[in-house]
Amino acid sequence: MQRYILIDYNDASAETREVYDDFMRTTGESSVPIWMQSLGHSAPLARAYWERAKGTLFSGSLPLPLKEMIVFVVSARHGARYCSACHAQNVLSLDKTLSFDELHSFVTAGTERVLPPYYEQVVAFAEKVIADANQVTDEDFENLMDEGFSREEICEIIAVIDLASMFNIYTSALKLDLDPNYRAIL
Amino acid sequence: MERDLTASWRERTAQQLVRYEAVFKLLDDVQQTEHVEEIAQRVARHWKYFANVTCWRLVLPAEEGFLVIDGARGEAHLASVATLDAWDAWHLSQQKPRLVRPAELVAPPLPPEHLAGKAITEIQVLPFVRLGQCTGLLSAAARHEPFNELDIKFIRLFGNHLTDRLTGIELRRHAMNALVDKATRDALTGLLNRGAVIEQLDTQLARTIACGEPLSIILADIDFFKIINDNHGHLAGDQVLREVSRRLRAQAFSGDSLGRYGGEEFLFVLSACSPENVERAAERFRRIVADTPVQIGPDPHQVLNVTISLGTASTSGHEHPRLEALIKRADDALYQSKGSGRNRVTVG
Repeated sequence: MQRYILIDYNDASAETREVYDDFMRTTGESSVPIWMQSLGHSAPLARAYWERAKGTLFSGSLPLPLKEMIVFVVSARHGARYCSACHAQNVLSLDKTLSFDELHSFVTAGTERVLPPYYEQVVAFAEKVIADANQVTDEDFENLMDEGFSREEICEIIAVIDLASMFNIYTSALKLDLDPNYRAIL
Repeated sequence: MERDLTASWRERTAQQLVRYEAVFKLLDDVQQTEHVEEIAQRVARHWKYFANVTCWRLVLPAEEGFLVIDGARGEAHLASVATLDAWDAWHLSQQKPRLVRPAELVAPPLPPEHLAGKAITEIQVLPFVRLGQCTGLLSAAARHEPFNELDIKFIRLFGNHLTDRLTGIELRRHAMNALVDKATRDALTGLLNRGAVIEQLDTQLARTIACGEPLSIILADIDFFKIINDNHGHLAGDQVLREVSRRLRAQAFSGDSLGRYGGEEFLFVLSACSPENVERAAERFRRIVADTPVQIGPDPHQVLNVTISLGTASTSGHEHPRLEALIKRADDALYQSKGSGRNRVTVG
């Protein structure tokens, strides 16, 4: 069964349209993705999810590609089909030369995963946070700081991990279908 | 995963995924403020994203000594120092780029502590030279792996830009200070000039009216100054002006303003000062001038007894104090001191 109802732009209330418009203005997209349309029945909910994503991804100190990579990795580890596909697409759009297969093999490479040194530390940290946030140690913070991350940047990394986890639960529980321009990576 | 794929992935990720966006953002960021520490903090956070620089030191020669900026753990620390440590002093004297691998380093100079961790593989030392002068010395450390060719290009490009940017800010600050100084200081005595001390009085008077604290002023005039000039020459007169200014300036507290009001006349603005206190302060100034003769030539015995007459005025008891009226009262009191024998204080 389809677990959700999509509200497209023409059927949306004025308040919901405002959220849709802000999404398109901020991201440069010409349409609203399925995750947002599935929230379109409630303008406050749509706004709450969108403001959380906008405030975390489109402002702050970390570069967007690193944030996209964190969301992608967290989503892949959570087995979140919709989010991993969406953010694989975002990572791809940021680096045109990175092939879909390479990105897929990056996720499935296990211990042979390869990344630039600080990426590897950030990804390892993200995996530890999603496994059990209570197990994060001062040493984990020290490692990131040695890679040049300030405490504020580490807070931002955690906020991005948390954002990804929130969207992972939402999109997986609803079993959202992929947008037509996304390819499943899981 | 194949080794060649690993290498290409690593290269592409490092070179394209974040580098360009990060470098453009930082270049833009460092133009947004003239505050050196803020620029250093932004650099400490973002340099790692386009050249894998996680810890670094930039030394900038300053007017007196050096500004040393250390970047590590996402933060920058700034220090003004008179002398450099052995590492910086040696590299600054060489004025040549150098690649240092800490593991192979056997003889001093040793790198600064934050560039010497066990994960540090190499340090790029780059002097930035303009017209034969070293304007900046950068030591940037690579962690885990040596810098690649593109890293080094980015380090050189951005290091140069950062050095020019910070040096430019300092130059502008010095030029601006010199201009302000020239416009507000009296060249002979180094005190505020008439315009500047009146401006200070105006500002402090407004503050006084706003917060209700009393403000007092003292006008002081060197006694028989024309006779000093006539009998001993203008150079001796200048020396008396300089010495009286020096003694009065030494009596000023933080928040007070002192200026050369006229030829041999001085205006003291004392913030948060009651009429009782201003009389005591004026008496102290009178004694500091009168008690020790002023040397007017190279011979220590060539001295003159110099005195000043003073008049005070206070905002206390005046509901709507005005600048002109305050100065007029101090001026009247000063002339009363002159009229009743000089070398004395009259409360206006």
